[in-house]
Amino acid sequence: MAADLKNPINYQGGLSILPFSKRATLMTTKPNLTGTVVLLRNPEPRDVADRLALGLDPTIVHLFGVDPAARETIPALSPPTAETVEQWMDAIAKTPHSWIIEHEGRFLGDVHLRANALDRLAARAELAISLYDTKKLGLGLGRETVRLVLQYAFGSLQLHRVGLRVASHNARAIRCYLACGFLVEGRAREAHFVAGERYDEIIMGILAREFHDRAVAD
Amino acid sequence: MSNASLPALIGKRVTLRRPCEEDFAARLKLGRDAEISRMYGGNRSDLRPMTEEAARHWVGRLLDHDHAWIIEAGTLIGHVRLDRVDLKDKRASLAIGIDDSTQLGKGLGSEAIALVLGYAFNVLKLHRVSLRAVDYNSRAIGAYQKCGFVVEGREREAAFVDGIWHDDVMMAILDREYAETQRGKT
Repeated sequence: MAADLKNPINYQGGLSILPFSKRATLMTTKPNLTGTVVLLRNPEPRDVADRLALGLDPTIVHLFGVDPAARETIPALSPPTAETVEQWMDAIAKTPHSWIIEHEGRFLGDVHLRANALDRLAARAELAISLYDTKKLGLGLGRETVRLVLQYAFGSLQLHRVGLRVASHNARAIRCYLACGFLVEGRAREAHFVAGERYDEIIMGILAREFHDRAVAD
Repeated sequence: MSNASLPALIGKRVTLRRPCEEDFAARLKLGRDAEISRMYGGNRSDLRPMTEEAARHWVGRLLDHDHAWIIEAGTLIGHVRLDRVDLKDKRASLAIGIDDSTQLGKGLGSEAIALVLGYAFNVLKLHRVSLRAVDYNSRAIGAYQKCGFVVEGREREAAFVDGIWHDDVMMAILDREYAETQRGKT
């Protein structure tokens, strides 16, 4: 895979000769993605206790662009219970491009590359990442996670673009995405309603050639 | 099941109504137009004739949808949907397709959009309605602008059509912008 990243000509070969719609369905295996400070892997039973211990910090919920007062109306953002966490981890285990983020041997968050049928036709996916421990924000763990997933997206999966949406008040996340090579492509005005305030949603994207150019420059 | 409480929306030239099983025959008759398929982002080489099965599937998906209307101008000419209606953030995305090539360019799509925006902002009380269009679909983008949508961004190279990458143009209209378009109208 490293050769693919460094060599744009190799990048044209391999899976890219298949129709886009066939590629993603072939790549149903989920390798662990190993960085220096994070490991992206499938959930394990021991993660349940770690996830429960982290709970759901209102600061974090707010950064997701969700009103902490209204989060009970959203199942995925309700305070975690053993049952909901197990179901959620089960779903991650079955989803081809969803990983949990491990840091210092413990569960820290989750990261996903999501693609619907239309996205697969256009070799694109949406990135979503969540870190649940406020004490672990700002340490570069998100950046390493995003870089690992982009390397997989543009290397093994041979995607053409990865996009994402982020609430405009989540400045730390936006800095992380910019540092990883995403460009701001637009702004969905007043798309979030959080604690009585309207927030924009920033539309960001990175293309395969931009990622590979950066890999060469590094 | 189709949303039984979804009202018909009646304009001067088009009527929007809930889909029914029998609509497949009219959809089958319209067939698939190469230029229209291209405006949806379809590849020319992927174009297949409309079949009864595909027409029934087309209707079935609308029947399963909470906010989908058939657009009628005398007969069925297309459909319009509000997707991902989110009553917490008060937003939704709009999708419209006119599948009768003889009815393009007459403002019927714009009238259908205006009716759905009226429903979205006045009945559902949404705050914003967004949509996306592939960048070369200038007729659609012009119609959306006429209805009050503004361009908010471009997802670069998000569609691969006939061997060429195209941007998706992201557009939206807010409730106050919609209200502005209604000023002076009866």
